[in-house]
Amino acid sequence: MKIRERRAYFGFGVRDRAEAQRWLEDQGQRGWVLTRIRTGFFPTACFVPMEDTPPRYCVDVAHWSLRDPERQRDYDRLAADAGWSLAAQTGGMKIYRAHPSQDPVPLQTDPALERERYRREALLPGILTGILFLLLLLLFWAAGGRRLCFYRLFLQSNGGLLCLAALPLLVLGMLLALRASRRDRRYRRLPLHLANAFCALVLPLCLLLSLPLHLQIAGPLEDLPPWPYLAAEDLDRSGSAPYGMVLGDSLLLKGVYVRTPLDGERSLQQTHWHCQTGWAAALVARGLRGDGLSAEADAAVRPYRPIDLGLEEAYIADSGDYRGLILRQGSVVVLLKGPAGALSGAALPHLLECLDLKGGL
Amino acid sequence: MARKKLDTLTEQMYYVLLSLTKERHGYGIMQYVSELTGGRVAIGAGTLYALLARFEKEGLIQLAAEEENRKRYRLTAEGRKVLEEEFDRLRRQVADGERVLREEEPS
Repeated sequence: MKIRERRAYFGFGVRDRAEAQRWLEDQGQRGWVLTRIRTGFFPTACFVPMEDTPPRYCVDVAHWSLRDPERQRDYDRLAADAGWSLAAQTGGMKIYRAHPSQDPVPLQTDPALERERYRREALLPGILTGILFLLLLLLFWAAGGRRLCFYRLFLQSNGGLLCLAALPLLVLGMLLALRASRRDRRYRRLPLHLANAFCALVLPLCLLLSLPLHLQIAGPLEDLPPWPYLAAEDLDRSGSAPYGMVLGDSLLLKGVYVRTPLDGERSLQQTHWHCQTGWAAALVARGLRGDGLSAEADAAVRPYRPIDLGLEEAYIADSGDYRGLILRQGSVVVLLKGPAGALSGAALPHLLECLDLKGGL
Repeated sequence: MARKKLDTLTEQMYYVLLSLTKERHGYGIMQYVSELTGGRVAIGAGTLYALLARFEKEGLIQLAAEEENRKRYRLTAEGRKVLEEEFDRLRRQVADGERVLREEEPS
């Protein structure tokens, strides 16, 4: 006869071992006894029904000194003599179950010694979480350009948006891990395992959702969203067909970069951001403004200054005969960079009309 | 707070050292301490293991034998010295307490 098995998510970390112990004993009260824990990104505890009295558990820190098999064997033997048998292990924890019909002394009876062991054990996961956090930032920094910028990091992909949701939990988890090592009791009741579960699900998803953006290659305008891009004719210039690529695509905004080659002059570069909300567009405009204007011939970065074009926001920057314009109206932001002559004050009203950014004109 | 040096022993440390005036294995120590103190002091297996490892590292105890995969330990001369010092310290504490508290009692 096949034994009925029940599985449940087990997201407890070393810092919430007291909570894990309570949870396991609660499962015991409901008639389920732990048989093993499947480790991995989504650790699950496996239970089978039992008929005996509910078992007692003791969740112990798997101390680094016990990674030596001989020491671990000695430890387990001593625990077994005292009435505890190893039921399962996961991460930095070892879960012992009291022998049936015994009421053994808890494994740890010196709180100071236990805290000392835990502090050492919690240090490594804390450092690893910090490294993961930095890697995540580096990933989005590499995707977004040389400057760390809020909208590039978090808004231009769904992965980034999810990261934004996960980051506070990651930071909270790290802070609590540090504080919990000093005042363990105060944090025992916090549902940190739920935060762990969320992060464990979100982080791989973030990476997966970020991948399509990295695979983008430049292509003809037909492959891009049907927005009003500027052609060479709109600037009273001659040139070849524009081409572009998607810069960002998330629930909150879409971004497209278009390059229009002009005959005998430097190309016109357009970056269009269409956002779901005005505040997202304002964040994008602020980020673009913070980049400043850098021309290839001029190593210096020129700051953008406000200009009145009748739009909600408009900024201009000049670097020799190279000009940059940031235009925001409602939830649309357009960045134009090109020859100063093609983007002169006289040409701007016509360009705004072509871009469908009429504003107050 | 974690103890860096064994200049003062905790109650559990004291009883572990005391029990090793005779050769004993881990579970034997737990049983002996419980019997000696009438169940007042109970040492968990995890705590005992950590203490034995620490005492052995600091040269207060040594491995005496291994029988049926159970390690038996005994006190070293250094361990005996630490235990005697702690015993003297506790005796002085008790003497001081007695002097003060008994003086307070009406004659």
